[in-house]
Amino acid sequence: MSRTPFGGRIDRSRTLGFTFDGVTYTGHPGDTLASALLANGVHLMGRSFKYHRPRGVLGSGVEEPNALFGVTRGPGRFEPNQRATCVPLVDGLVVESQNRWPSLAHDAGALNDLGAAFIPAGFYYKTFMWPPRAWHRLYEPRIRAMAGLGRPTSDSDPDRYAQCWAHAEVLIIGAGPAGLAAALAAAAGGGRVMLCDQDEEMGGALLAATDETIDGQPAADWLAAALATLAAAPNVRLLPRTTAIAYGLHNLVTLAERRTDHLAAAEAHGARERQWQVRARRVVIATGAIERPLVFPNNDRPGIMLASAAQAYAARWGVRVGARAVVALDHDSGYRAAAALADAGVAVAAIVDSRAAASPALVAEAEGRGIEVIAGQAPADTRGRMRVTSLGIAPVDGDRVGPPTRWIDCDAVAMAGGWTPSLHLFSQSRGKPVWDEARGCFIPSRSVQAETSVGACAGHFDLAACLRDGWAAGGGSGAAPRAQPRADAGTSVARRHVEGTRRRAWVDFQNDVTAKDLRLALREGFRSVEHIKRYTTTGMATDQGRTSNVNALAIAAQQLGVGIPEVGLTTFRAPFTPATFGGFAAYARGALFDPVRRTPMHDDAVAAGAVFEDVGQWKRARYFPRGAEDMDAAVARECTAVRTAAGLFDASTLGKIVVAGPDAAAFLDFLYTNPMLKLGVGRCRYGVILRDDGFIYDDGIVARLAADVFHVTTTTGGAARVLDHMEDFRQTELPGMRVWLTSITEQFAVAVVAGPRARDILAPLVEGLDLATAAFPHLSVADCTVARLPARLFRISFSGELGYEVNVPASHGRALWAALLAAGTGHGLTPYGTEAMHVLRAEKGFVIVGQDTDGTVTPDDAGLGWAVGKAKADFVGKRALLRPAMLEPDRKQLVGLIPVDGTTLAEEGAQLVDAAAPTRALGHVSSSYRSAAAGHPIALALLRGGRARIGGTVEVAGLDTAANTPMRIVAPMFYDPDGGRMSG
Amino acid sequence: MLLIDCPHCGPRAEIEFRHAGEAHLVRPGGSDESADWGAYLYARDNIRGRATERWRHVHGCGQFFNAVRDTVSDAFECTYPAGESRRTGADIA
Amino acid sequence: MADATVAPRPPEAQWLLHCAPADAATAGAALGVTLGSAMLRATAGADWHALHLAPDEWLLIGTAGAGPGAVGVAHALVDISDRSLGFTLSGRDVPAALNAACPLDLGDTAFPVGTCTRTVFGKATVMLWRTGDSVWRIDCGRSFAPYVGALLALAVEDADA
Repeated sequence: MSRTPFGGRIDRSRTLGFTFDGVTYTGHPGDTLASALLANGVHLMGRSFKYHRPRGVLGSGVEEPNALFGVTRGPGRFEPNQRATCVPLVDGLVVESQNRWPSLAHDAGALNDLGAAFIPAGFYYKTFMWPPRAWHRLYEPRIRAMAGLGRPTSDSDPDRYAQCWAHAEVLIIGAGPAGLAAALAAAAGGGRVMLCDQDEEMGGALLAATDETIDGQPAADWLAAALATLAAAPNVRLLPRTTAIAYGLHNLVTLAERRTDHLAAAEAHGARERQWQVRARRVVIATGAIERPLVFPNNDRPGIMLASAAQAYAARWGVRVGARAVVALDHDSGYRAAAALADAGVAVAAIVDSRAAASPALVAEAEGRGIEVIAGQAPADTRGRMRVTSLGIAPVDGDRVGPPTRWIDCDAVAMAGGWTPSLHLFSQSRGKPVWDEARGCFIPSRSVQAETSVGACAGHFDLAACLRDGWAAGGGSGAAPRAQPRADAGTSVARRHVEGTRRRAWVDFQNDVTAKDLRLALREGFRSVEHIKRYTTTGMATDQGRTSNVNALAIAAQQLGVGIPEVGLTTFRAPFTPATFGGFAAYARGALFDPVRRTPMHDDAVAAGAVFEDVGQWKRARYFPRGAEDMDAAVARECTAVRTAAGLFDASTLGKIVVAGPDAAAFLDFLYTNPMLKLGVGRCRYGVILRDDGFIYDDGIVARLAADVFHVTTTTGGAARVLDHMEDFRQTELPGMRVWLTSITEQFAVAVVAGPRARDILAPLVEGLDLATAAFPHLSVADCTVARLPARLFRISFSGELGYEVNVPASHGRALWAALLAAGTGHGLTPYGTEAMHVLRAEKGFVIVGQDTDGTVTPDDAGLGWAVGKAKADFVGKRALLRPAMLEPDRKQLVGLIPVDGTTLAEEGAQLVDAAAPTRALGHVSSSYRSAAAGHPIALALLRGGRARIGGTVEVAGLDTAANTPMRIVAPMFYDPDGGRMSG
Repeated sequence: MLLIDCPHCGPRAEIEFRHAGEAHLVRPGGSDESADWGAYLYARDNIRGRATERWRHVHGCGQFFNAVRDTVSDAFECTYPAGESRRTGADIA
Repeated sequence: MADATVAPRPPEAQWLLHCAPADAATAGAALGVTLGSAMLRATAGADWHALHLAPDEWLLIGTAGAGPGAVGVAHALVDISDRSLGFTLSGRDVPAALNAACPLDLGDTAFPVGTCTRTVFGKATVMLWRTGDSVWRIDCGRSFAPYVGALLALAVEDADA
């Protein structure tokens, strides 16, 4: 066992069981998967991506590149690529290693390592080029099979995810010493304070503190008191296990809160995660810093890890990372790690300090513990396959290190390469990091948004400075929490890159990128850091170069003979750490993916056996099959009923707008192509709306209810955009007009009764209105009662038959429907759906905007030139219709098509061609149906110069090898051309 | 996501709004086809930097209004009701 | 459990009044309710609540079946009593529940009692009105009510932490 006998922040009174690759282990509450495995002496945790090298854990937090696992928390709850350092241990956790076959210890892929010389950076780009055909059949399938880390589950996610918005005066990201000091200060200010931290516990570096004191208390005690103070403050919200994954515009920060992953299944209730969108007046970024590894040959063996991680395993989790460790450093903080290891009972064989002149105080302290300090030397190689067994060191000569001159037996190496501030969120806030030569790291420059970076992420690595910095950023008055300054808080030295042999020294552990790969890329001419990143893959994948970026830059700078700032940083993109898709989708899944809108009579249609179709968010009854009818049979029956008796249709989804005010008529006259000023009260007119570019935008009925009140309808899909279009002109072009718009789409349920028997069915139900044609002719409107319900009745027709549209308040929709059905008994009244409606209107050549028009169709193109009030001084789109291109005779125009063979149904959307020149597209079929009334299939089409070709033929192009279909070109009117049926 | 200061409702999240293109375009008078009409329809400045644009608070008060936004930084300098004259740097300072 | 309950609202009269802001006081006098007040504030008269949702727009809410009388200025007045459906929300955690899908700052400073506005709730446009310290109402287009109701139920469930 590698567990210390006491100490750490784990709960030793409880034991948790988990399995790793089928073997059962135990740990304690407070453990991560990584600390529990190390406590069990398990160092081999994964295989590297490309070479399948055995790997152990490198870090102790989000920076971890190696220890990636597939984690199962129950049925359907499997996730690949989970960092062992970020997986809280729960009882019954099942984890498996990745990227190995047949097992982690015996991995066939490790053959790649032997052939490593043959797969340098860019190998895939260079190699798999010839023969071209082989890419598809051979190379890509093989490479795909090898590529990728982990496999996602194909089960649907059984968990629920929540989302919420929040507002705060101060959002503090990171609850280390700087963030806590900021929160304490801000809490006293009284505004709403949010403090989030990605770790299982708040405290940041204080969780691994050894002998630090704050305000005279041990750091752990101060931490507990600070958290208690904050928890008790009513204006403070503490969000542990919550990662700030994105810093957006105008101080909107996205947080991912993990709510149940740390709980055993039985205790986990509610949403697994909650994604927060926090709009903060001020943001304090206190995201800390991540330690850098050292780059030296074979620096990737299990047992070699960051010094800060080794310290954290000892101090926070009570785990000895080895029996005998060497600390290799070029930053003072490594001395503290060495002390922590020694305190935990690890034999520290030596401290190898690459700098010639180590701090005498630190050396003396180490030597006081009996630790040998070897200055001016650096790691040069390691031995050991599944675990490091010894570290070779050699003197540093300028910027080079020769072959090992001394081997030190050890089973752990702690690397202290200096610190890299976590600038991800600062960078996402659009701030520019700048290189600080003295501290040897990038630090934040000027803030672009209302943001302050504090503590280690701002380059302050000393506890006392972090506390002061955070306190000031939180607006603290009075004295900041105080810590004893330390000798080992020294600034990081910009590391001269030392690497002296031809052996491989890893820079990016996750992507298996070595110093050699980087040098190769530079030799091949890559200069931009963004190009180097993509060519070598350094800094990509789940860890996004947290431990490798600065080392890679240092190598590039050294090779190019320039400074690190000249090489530049790659862009930090969101999310900061991998985020679940569930968190982004949250409530928008299943039935709540999008609102499903149903009409007031929806349930009646369901009861009648309707088949529905989606029209935008609406469910509309498409047809009403009876018995074993298919759609064609049902539609034919429904059409025949409307043509010979009567049909009942739910038109509630049509957009409806009241246009009212003294200037309403003038406003509509301007918005529609048609003249509207003289439309009589009680009369309706079909109207066309253009945009100013002259193309048809929508159409509908304009009905004048009173001198200054109009009821207009829009297409179902056009309801919102027509209102928007009208409001635009009302507010910005015609602000002097006294006219107002009110959407009444949802106010009314609308039932259409159409067919020769329509009047017979409706008349007995109507009070207050004479339905005779003389009294209430085609294109009339009146308020009355229908079946004792307050109603607005239109006599209009989209079917070509005598038609009425009954509008009643939506809550009366079902009563109206039932009354009409009852009245229709004996008259053959038949419910019909949108499909029959489409056929009926196509037989009459009535266009559907969006089906027979596509945003490039003028009124004249659509055969609606008659609807344009040419005498009007102006209307929306008028001048565009005069543009030369709009007047060309060869424009695509609406025509009717009939198959020459009398039977073949044209495909909607199919292209039209001439038999003589079958490669030139002349237009397309926009609507196509079987027509019982016409006795043959009919189609509407937009055809180049179409009207002049009426009487001729054109072919509908068959797809792929299908034959073309010859069509006769006719006027777009297949039924009752003089309109006697609907106006009679 | 932007925070947009509706002149009527105050600061609101971008999802309540719809962008409505360049502001202060003048719809030419007259009734003839002419080049100015083509420019009105299709020519836009697409400014990098300080741009004047229209928004509609479509899921709020429904009003169209104008805004001055830096298209590089996305910072809003100001918003003001439709119909008011174009804001220059001097007005804002 | 979150301190938030959701109940569908009974029918009531809703009329949408538009008029020039300069005429609002006159119109209000005719209707018996103050109209010229600040944007996004609700006022109460004998028969009507008036919610000032846009510079030239007031939503009048009264008892079911009621209809406003003559207004006396150029205006538009439209019966929309059946256009929307509403829910009453009660409890301390209502703001947290609403914030599951509404981006507004619903704190006491930004959204005091009497505030009303249109906004979004998930993918629906809604009208939100804080009628009391812990009492709110949310109205949406009639066909959006099943969506809004189901989303509210989940939001309430998630509002307790």
